[in-house]
Order: sequence, then structure tokens, then C-alpha cells
Amino acid sequence: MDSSSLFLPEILLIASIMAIPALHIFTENRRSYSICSNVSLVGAFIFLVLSWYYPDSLSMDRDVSTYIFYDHFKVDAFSQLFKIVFVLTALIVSLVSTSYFDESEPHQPEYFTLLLSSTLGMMVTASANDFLTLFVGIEISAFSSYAMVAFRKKDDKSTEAGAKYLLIGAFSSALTLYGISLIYAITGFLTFDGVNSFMDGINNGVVDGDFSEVIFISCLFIMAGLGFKIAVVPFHAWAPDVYEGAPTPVTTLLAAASKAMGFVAVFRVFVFALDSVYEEWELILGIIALASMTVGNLAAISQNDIGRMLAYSSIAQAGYIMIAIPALTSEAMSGAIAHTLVHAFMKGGAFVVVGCVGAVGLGYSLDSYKGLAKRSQLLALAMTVCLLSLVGIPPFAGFISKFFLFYGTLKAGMAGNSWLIILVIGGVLNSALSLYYYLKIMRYMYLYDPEGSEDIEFPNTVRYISLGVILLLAVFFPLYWESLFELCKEASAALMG
Amino acid sequence: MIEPINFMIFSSILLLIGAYGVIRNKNSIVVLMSVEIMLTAANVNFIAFSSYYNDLTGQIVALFITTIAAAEVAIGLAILLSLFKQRDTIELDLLDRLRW
Amino acid sequence: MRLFFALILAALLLPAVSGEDHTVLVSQSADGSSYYFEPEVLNIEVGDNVTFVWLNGSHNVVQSSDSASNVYLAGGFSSGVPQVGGNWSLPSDYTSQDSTLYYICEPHATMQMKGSIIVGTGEVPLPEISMEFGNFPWLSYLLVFPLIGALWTFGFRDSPHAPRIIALFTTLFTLIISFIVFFKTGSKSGYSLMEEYVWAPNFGISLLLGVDGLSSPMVLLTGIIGPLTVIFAWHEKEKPALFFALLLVMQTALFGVFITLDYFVFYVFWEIVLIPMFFLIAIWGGENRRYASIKFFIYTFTASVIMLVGFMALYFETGAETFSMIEIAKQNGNFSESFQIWVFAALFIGFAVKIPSVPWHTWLPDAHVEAPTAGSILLAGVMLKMGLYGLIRAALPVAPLGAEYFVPVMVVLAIVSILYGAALSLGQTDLKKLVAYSSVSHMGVALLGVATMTELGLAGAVFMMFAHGILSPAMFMVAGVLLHQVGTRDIPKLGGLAKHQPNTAGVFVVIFMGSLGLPGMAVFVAELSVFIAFFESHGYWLILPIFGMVLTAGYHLWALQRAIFGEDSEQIDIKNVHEAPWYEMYPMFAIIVLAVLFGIFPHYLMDPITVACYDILNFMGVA
Repeated sequence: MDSSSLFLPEILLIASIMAIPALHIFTENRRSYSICSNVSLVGAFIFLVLSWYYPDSLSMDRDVSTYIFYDHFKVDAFSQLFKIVFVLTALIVSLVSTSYFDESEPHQPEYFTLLLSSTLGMMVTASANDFLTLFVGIEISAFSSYAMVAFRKKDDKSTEAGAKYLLIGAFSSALTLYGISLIYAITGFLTFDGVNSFMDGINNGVVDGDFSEVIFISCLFIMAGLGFKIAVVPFHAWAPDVYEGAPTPVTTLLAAASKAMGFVAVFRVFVFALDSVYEEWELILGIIALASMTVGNLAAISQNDIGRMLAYSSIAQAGYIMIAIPALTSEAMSGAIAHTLVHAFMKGGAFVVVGCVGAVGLGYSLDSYKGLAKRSQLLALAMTVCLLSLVGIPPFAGFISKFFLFYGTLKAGMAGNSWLIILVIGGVLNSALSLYYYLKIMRYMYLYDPEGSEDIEFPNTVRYISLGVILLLAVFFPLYWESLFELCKEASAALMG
Repeated sequence: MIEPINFMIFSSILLLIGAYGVIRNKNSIVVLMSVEIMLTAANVNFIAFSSYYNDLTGQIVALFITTIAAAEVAIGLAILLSLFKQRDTIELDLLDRLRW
Repeated sequence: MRLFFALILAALLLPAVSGEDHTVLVSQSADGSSYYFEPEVLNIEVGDNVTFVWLNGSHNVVQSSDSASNVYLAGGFSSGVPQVGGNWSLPSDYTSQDSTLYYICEPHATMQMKGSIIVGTGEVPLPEISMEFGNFPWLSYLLVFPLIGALWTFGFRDSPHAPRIIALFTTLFTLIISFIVFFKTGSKSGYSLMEEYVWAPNFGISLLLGVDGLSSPMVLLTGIIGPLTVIFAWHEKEKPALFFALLLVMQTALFGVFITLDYFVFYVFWEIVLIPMFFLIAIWGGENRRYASIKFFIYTFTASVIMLVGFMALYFETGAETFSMIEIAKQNGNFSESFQIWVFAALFIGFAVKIPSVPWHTWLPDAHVEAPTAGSILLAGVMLKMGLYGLIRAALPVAPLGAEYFVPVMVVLAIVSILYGAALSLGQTDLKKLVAYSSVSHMGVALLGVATMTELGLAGAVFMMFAHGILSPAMFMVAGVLLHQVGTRDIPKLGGLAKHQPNTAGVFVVIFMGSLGLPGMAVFVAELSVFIAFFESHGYWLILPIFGMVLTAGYHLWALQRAIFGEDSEQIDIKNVHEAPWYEMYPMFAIIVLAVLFGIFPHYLMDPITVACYDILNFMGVA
């Protein structure tokens, strides 16, 4: 087969994006939209997994990257791994949405179209091989999610969150773009390979001239822009508002997939394209990492809305992941990739439970979690597993990925970059700090009696999904963590070239 | 011929104007317009260095950005419109249902 | 006949004494331009003799630390002041094992008058550790059976009786296995019954199981406490299935901590212990349980993540891509002193919170007071031992210099713990709180034993862990019985119980006596060993811990006198006080039997412990 068939997962999504509005003309049955979206996502997922295990039949080589579309689109282990995560998260969101929105909810075909186009944008970002494709991918995903956040036009929280997300997002992407334009101004290249070799040239003395200030400024701009996407301090202010205001399935997508996409972009730009000028940016990233984990955890403690609390916890988690980037070793990067992956599942899982509790009418404040264990053991257990995983308590998946992360960074730190040790110790102490508010939720779920009736029917889809999340985080990853690490190592090798 | 550094100075002035507009303005529409100015700043850089390096990539990027900006404004206005329908205002200071 | 033996003995000894003779010439060139030993490097076998012969010039032969050093190594061999002519034989001690000896001539060392003798391979042999892999997976059974039991109870979660019967059955079974493990280990040096299951080869992590004389008493302790807890909680009404399942999961995790020899797996088990304990306190605890459970979790978790950083630092410093405690401890000679100090500090914080040592003890009284009795039993009986066990197993062998550096700190913390714990116990009215503070005091004694860094002190500390591990659960059982039968455990409200429940009160008295360190019971043996060791290493500072013991006797007897004897109390319904039921009496009685048994025949425990402590000190290069 031609190697451009590697674009097939994206084509499946595009087909579905076009099919759903068309379906809307013929039928009013809302099931058909979700089925259409699920089918295309499952198809994309199967294709990605197959392309991972049988690369030969697709003229793809897992060890080297395959380029299509005149080198603008790069398919390698890194991109495939993250595409699998995006598709899987979108599938979960798509499944949850069916039970979250009831019959009377208007504009459902548009919702699924937007969901798929957002996923498409993420997949394009994962495969981007130049700054333009990266930017376009991020924007496709971002525009769709602006609309999704503001999707409930009658709910003023939702619209307000959408407006805020849009304005801040537009501002941040303008900053990123200006940073990119500066990179183009210095190097004359937009492809990652071109920029990378130019920067190597500066280091080797092949290229004349001192660009360090301009590079510093452009790194600052790009980091500011991408920092909004991954919600790190000081670009985090939108996250709690948007996570609280958006419909919860959309929040799930933002917290799980959109954040991972931000990290994909950060990895591609800083770890691959700009890695030889790390002296310019390593300190900024280190400070941002330390600040976001501390601020995120401290702010989370006093939150009363579960969405806001999890949003701050997301900010802290982004801080943990960031510490690996200045380390720039393959081990640290595989740790960061592993934690990004696992974070998508544990945050996604937590928000699935949140959405379900909200959808049955219990509300979104911490108080509504009182006695959840008495109402549904399964949901409480799923939430507990996700939370313990977020803290990083063995043997759950979060501990393993966090261990990889700290392991790789500490190794780099002890090998010479000794200030990284401070970041690791900061991360470790922050994990202990974060325990407090995660335990608070667990305490509410298990130790208090529910307010109001105990008999509440939770939708079956959510129960299956939460069972899946429990199995994934508490059984599958801990048992097969060596293979998880292998995957991430392969991805980081592909990423770092 | 104008030196490329002049374009850079020009674009950074544009960027600062745009950023100032975003930060200081209370009106969402003006904020959106300021963001467009910031995008233009980037465009100036791209086009100037495209001609400096004699490389078409920059100009293609500029075309892309123009399209993206249009899409952004479309979505932005749509969201602001539905906000206006609910609240009769699009002043940023009055968006306080959620804490900033 | 006697002649025959003498001949055999001589034949055996002959090879040992008849080593080859070597000569080293000590000389200088006639014009004084060069000074040399001839040969400069001498290769000999173990047991050979070396004689230095002076040719000309005035020289001496003294040992130096390495080939670059120009000065005498204190304590090494020396031929005395420079001499002219004559000869000198190297004492045979120096050639009795593989090593490399460097020596110099003191007046001419700066003129490169140096030499070396390579004995055998030239490498100082590491202390041999026997690692005996078992042919039957006893240790895996210890880990797996309680887990199976826990799942099993969940199968019968609606039945009122099934969970406790299953739990009792499972714990009795693991008790049998732990007895087998204890006796199979015996007092051999090194690790027995080892098993290895590779988990993550990339990181060098494997489930490496093994027991020695240090862990086998702890395994036995965990095994003993298991069924006692279950029997004592026989009438648990609230969610019995979950309760017993958590107890069993806890047992697996505790066994895991005590039998694993891999730092990573050790950490994993260490953290898993927290989860069931958190729920035990949080769901079945007293009024203030929410605060207590969270405080408990956060204190210990914070400490243990710091410990994890220490483990990882050790892993990277070793560079051998292994988390095996044995392999890392073998490398302790390569760790620089400052590294050892930092690592020991990190590990010590992790362990000291669990011990708990003042000033990190404040979680303990809260947790104890709020925990259900069964939880307190596990907490005081086994969980507190994890701290000292970890200190001896995981911190001392890898960072001997760090440990030495922190000896004063440990001594001060231990003495403060003893005195402060005892003083606070004096002021408590709640019996559970009294026992909690007395735990701080008792574990202080054990920490003091570790701080002496002698065989006797370490052994005393481990013995204390075992003795306190059986007696403090008994004290909590007393508190539990009082709460059930009398309705309060507030000491001032009690009084005159001896008249109304004579048998139970008798048991109480014996338990109190055991806990205060009555000769003939287990705690006394431990305290005596620790104090003798401490006197040998620190002299008359012993007066401070002894004073702590006086306070200990004071608060035990005072509490006993107020609660059990004296006038009938007005504040309780004294007429309705009856003897404790069988399921509360039997566990206490079993503990008394054990405490007396190990008090009168301490060597059953002391022998394996002493051997293991000797091994550990050997690793540290102290013995």
C-alpha cells in the first residue's frame, strides 16, 4: 500500500464530519449521529493499532518516521501513540455524551461534528512536521472546542466559559504565531528539521551571528501560547472557569485530550526543533513547572466545585510533566510521555464520573459527592482509583508513570544538571501536598451519608466506562508497565530523532 | 531596499498595540479586533522574511493565517452573539458568573 | 589414638603454616640518586611470608593507604624508626587474606621509594552473604493467601458470619506458614527461602523475596497478630466483609514489606499498607476519624516520598541498574561520605515518621484514639515496626557513614522520645492515648538500640520490636474490652473493676506488668540488652533512659491502680460489669503466653536476630 494510506484514520474522521450533517437532513434520530461518530472513531482506533503492530503492510517503518504530503505530515511512533490516546478519549467522550445529553438537547449533530473535528485537529498536531501544520492543527482543534464549550446556548455559564476560552485562546495563539514568525525570521525555515539543523548550526559555529536574544524572545512567545493550551502558571487562569462552565463531556475532552495535544506541541517544538538551544529556554520551563505544580496544588485545596478542583489539579499535573522537558534525555521524555498518556486516562476517568454525577442531577459541588459510595460502589471506586492514581500511590498507573518521570529527570539531574534535582524534590513534595484535596473527595464519598435519596439510577454506559477505567489504571498498566515503558521509549526515540 | 530589521520593529509595534488592546479593553469585540492586529503583526514578519529569503513559504503561511483569522472571528462573533442574547452585554467585566 | 589426631591436626595445619617465603630488598643507589624497593610490586599467595632485607641506606617500611600517599597509615604495619641493615618480617596477619598492601619508606617517600604487595587476587573480599533459594515458594504463599482470603470474603459480603470465618481461616493458615518460615530460617547467616520474579528488567526491578534473622521475627509477629485481630473483631457489625477484607489486604502488604529485598517493591508495599489503614480508621473509627485518618495518611505519605527520592538516589549512584538491597549494599564502599549523609537523612525522615520518633509522632495518638481496636492492634503491633525495620534493613547497610554521622541525632531523638512519651503518658486519662504515647516511648528505646550500632544494641532493638509488637496490641485489647464491657476507657471514671471481673482484671494486670518491663517477660529482655549496649557506647548518659523507665513504671502502675483497683466507681454502672467474652479473653491470654515464653527463653528469638544483626554490621564494616 501507498504510505499516504497512513492518513486513513484522519480521512475516516473527515468522512464522518461530513456525513453527520448530511445524516441530519434525512433523520432526526439522535442515535444515528453518535453511532456515526463512534464507528469512525473505532475505525480510526483499529487502524492505528493495526498500523502499530503491522507496520510493514503500510510501508511504514516503526523505527524511522514516514513522511507524507511533501514532508509536512510525519508518521512515527510518537504520533501514532498520541493519536491512539486522542481517538480513545474522543470515543469515551462520544459514548458519555449520548447519556449526558437527553433527547431534548438541541444541536446534537453539530456537537458530534465538532467533537470529531476537534479530534482531527489533535491528530494533525500529533503528526505535524512543520510549524504551520502544527499551528493549523492546534487551531482546528481549538476552534471546535470553543464552540463545544459554548455549546449550551441557553446556559449562561456555558456561554460565558466559551467566550472566555475563545478570547484567551485567540490571544494565546496570536502569541504563538508571533513566536513562530520570529523563528522564521531567524532561520528561514518552518519545518522542524530545518529549524533543528539551523539551531545545531548555531551551536557548531556553522551559522554566523548571535541570535540568542531573538531565540529567547521567540521561545518566550511560543511557550506563552502553548502554555495556555496546557494550562500552566502563569497562563492558567482560564482553566478553572472553562472546566467549571463547559458541559462535562467537553471538559473531559479538554482535560484529557486537548491538554495532551498541548504537550505534543510542546514536545515537538522544544524537545525536537529547538533542543540545541536549550540554554535559552530551560530555566523558563523549569520555573514554570515548579510554579504550576505549587500554585495548582495550593489553589486546589480551597476549591468547592469539583470541576475547578480537578482543573487546578490538572495545572499541577502539567507542572510535573514539564520538569522532564529541561532534562532532555530520552528517559525523562519517555517518562513525560507516559505521564501525559496516563494523565489523559485518569483525568478523563475522573471527569466521566463527575459528568455522570452531574447529569443525574446531583450537582457539581463537593457536597454532592457525599455518600457516593452508598449510591454507587462502582462510580466511587472508579473515582478513588483515578484520584489515588493522580496522587501517585502505588500500585496504580499514576504512580508508575510518575515514577518514570521523576526517575528520568532525577537521572539527568544526577548526571550533571543538578538544578533538576530541585524540580524533582519539588514535584515529590507537591505530590504529598496534593494528597490533601484528593483525600477530601474520597472522604466525602466514603465517610458521609448521602443527602437525599440513595436510589439513583446511573446510566449503564458510564458504568461500563468507569469499569474500563478501573481495569486500565489499577490492573492493566501496573501489570504491564514494562510494555508501557517500551512504548513510551519508542515514542521518545522517534520524537528526539 | 528596506532592511529586514525595520519590518521586525514595525511588526513588534503592531504586536504591542494588539496586546495592549487585548489587555486594556473591556469590550469583547475590540479584544477580538486587537487579536487580529496581533495576527497581522505575525503576517508582516512572515511576508517580509519571505521576500528576504526569497522563499515562498512565508507568504503561504500568511494566506493560511488570514483564513484562520477569519474563521476565528466567525466563531468568536457567534459565541459573543449568544452571550449578548442572554446578558444584553459583552463587557468583559460583567462576565462574572464564573470567577476569573 | 591421641597421636593419630595430633597427626591429622598437624597435616591440616601444615599447608597453613608452610607458606612460601619472599624477600623484598630495601636499598638505594650508591650516589643517592634513586631509592627503591626490589621488587617494587610483589605478587604472593595468601599465607606466604614476606621479609624485608636492608642493603644500604637508612630506611624503614610502613604501610600507606594507596600508591599516591606519602604518609603512614595509622594502624597499619611498620618496621619502626629508620634503620641501617638488618631485616624485618611482615606480620602474617597482613597476608592472611586477599588484599593489596601499599608501603613506603617514610624518609624517602617523596623520592618515590614505594612498593606494594599484592596478596592473592589483590581485591579485598566482600563479606560473603549466603543466598539460599528455596525450593518451595513459602514466601509467595504469605503474600498470596491473605489476598485470596480478601477476595473470598467479598464473595460472601451479604452473609453475617462467612467473612469472619473466612478471615480467621486465612489468618490461621498464614500463621502456620509464618511459623514454618520462622523455623526454616532458623539462626542461619544470610538470606533463606529466596524467590525472584522479574517484574521490570529495564529498571532492574524484581520481586526479590527472602528472609533472614531480622525479618523472620517480623514475619512471625505479623502472622501472630493476624488471627488475634480477627478474633478480637469477631462481632464487627458494620460492613464486616469490607472490614475483614481490608485486614487481610493489610496483612499481605505488611508481609510484603518484611520479606522483600528490593527497594522499589519495598516502597510499593510500604505505600499499599497505608490504603487499608486509611479506610479502617476512616470508616470504623471514632468521632474524630476524618481528621485522624487524613492526618495519618498525609504524614506518612509525605515522609515516604522523601524516602523514595533516597532510594532512587541510591539506585543511580550504584549505576548497576538494580534495586536489589543486597547488590546496592555491596557497593556501599563506593559511596562518598556526603552522599551517604544525604541519603541517610532522606531515608531516616521516611522511617522516623513511621517509628514514630519525636517530633514526628503527633499523627500516632490521633490515629490510635480514633482507630477501631482491630486497627490499633495492627497499627501498634506491626505497622510501627516497619519504620525501625526499614531503618535497619534499608538504611544502615547502604549508608554506614551517614548512619555514623547521624548517631548523635538518633540518640537525642531516642532519649527525647523515651522521656517525652513517658511524661505525656503520665498525664493521659484516655487509656488508648496512654498506650499510644507509651508506644512512642517504647519505640524510642528501640531507636536507642539502633543508635548504639553494636550487635547487642541492634539485637535488643529488634527484640523490642517483637516484644512491643505483641504487648501493645494487648494493651489496646484492654482498652477495647473496657470500652465494650464498661462503656468507657477514661481512667478517672473507672475503679474497682477487680472485684466485679476478677479474671479479666487479672489478665489486665499481667499485661500491664509485661508492658512496663517486668523481668521474665519479653520487654524486659529487650530493654536490658539496649541499655547494656548503650552503657558500653555512651557511658553514664544511660541515666536518662533509665529515668524514662522509672516514669514508665509509674504511669503503668498508676493507671492500673486507678482503673482496676480502688473504690467502686460512681460514674459507671459497676453492677453490670461482667467478665470479658471468650473472643476477647483468648487473644489476650495467647499474648501473655507468648510474652512469658519469650521472656524466659529469649534465645529462640535472640539467636536469629543476633546473627542477622552481625551480618548487617558486617556489611557496614563496623563488626
